[in-house]
Amino acid sequence: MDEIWGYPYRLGITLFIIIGTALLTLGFVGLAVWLEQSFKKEKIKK
Amino acid sequence: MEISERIKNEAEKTRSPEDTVLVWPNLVYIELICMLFATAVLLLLSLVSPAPLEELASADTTPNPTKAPWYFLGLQELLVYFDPWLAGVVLPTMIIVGLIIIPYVDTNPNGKGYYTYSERKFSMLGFSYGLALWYILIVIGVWTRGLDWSWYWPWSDWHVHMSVTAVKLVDLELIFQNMLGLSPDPVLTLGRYAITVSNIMTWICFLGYYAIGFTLPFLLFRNFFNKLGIIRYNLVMLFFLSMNGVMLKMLLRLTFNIKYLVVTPWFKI
Repeated sequence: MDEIWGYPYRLGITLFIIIGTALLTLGFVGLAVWLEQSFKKEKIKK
Repeated sequence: MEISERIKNEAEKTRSPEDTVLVWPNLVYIELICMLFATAVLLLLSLVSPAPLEELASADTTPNPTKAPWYFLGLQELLVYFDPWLAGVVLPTMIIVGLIIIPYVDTNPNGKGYYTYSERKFSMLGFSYGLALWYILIVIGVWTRGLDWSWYWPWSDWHVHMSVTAVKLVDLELIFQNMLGLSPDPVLTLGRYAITVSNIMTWICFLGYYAIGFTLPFLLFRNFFNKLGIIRYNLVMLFFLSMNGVMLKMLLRLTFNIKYLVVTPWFKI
């Protein structure tokens, strides 16, 4: 465990960056999809 | 057919005149309201979280680490992985130029002014990934960099200096040399540049990354290439590959302690 999270934390940092970037990307795309869907629904209401 | 014409035709096909509104006042008013709303939010934010100027710099008080404002911390964090000419000049320029060229390389006539994920999957994913990369650098700079710009987890003791000797960085060239038992003697000398076999191998890796990156989508997604045309395709791939290259270089350094991929007397990448 110490090898992963202990200094210099190589694996921990790598995982942190990869997972963090992936989650943020998904978040931004999710926001775009959600906006697209909600605008579509609004159109139908009209 | 010209792109502008294709866009116009597409718009005429999908929308009749009664389905459209004028830019002025319909759109400009909404933009004005958005602008006022954004100003109000910024004012409120600055009240909630003020950012006062600190006292004049003094040689007696040298904070460790010295951190830029949060919005610049991504850039400051990039300096860990790249030399200043790259992290401070080339990469920011590429980001700005890359953003500028987006409208010029966009040949998709669908949803002009109504950009949606379902019609622009590659663009949306690529842009979101770039933005995420930028924000993760800011997150690292703000929350994980402590004394001497070392990495501190939230549960680390932030008052104790990390051992700087724990990380020994090496160039890719040396790794090749040691792993394959190559000679450190140059095979060719160009002025100050003594070119060794391992040095040539690093160039092959570096240029090979771009060569494969440019060729693979051309072979596998010919439709993508045909839609863009040769100039747009090369521009898109150059920026896309460079963006991924930044991530790759970061991970190579963090995981394998690689300092430079390519070393010359004049520049190091």
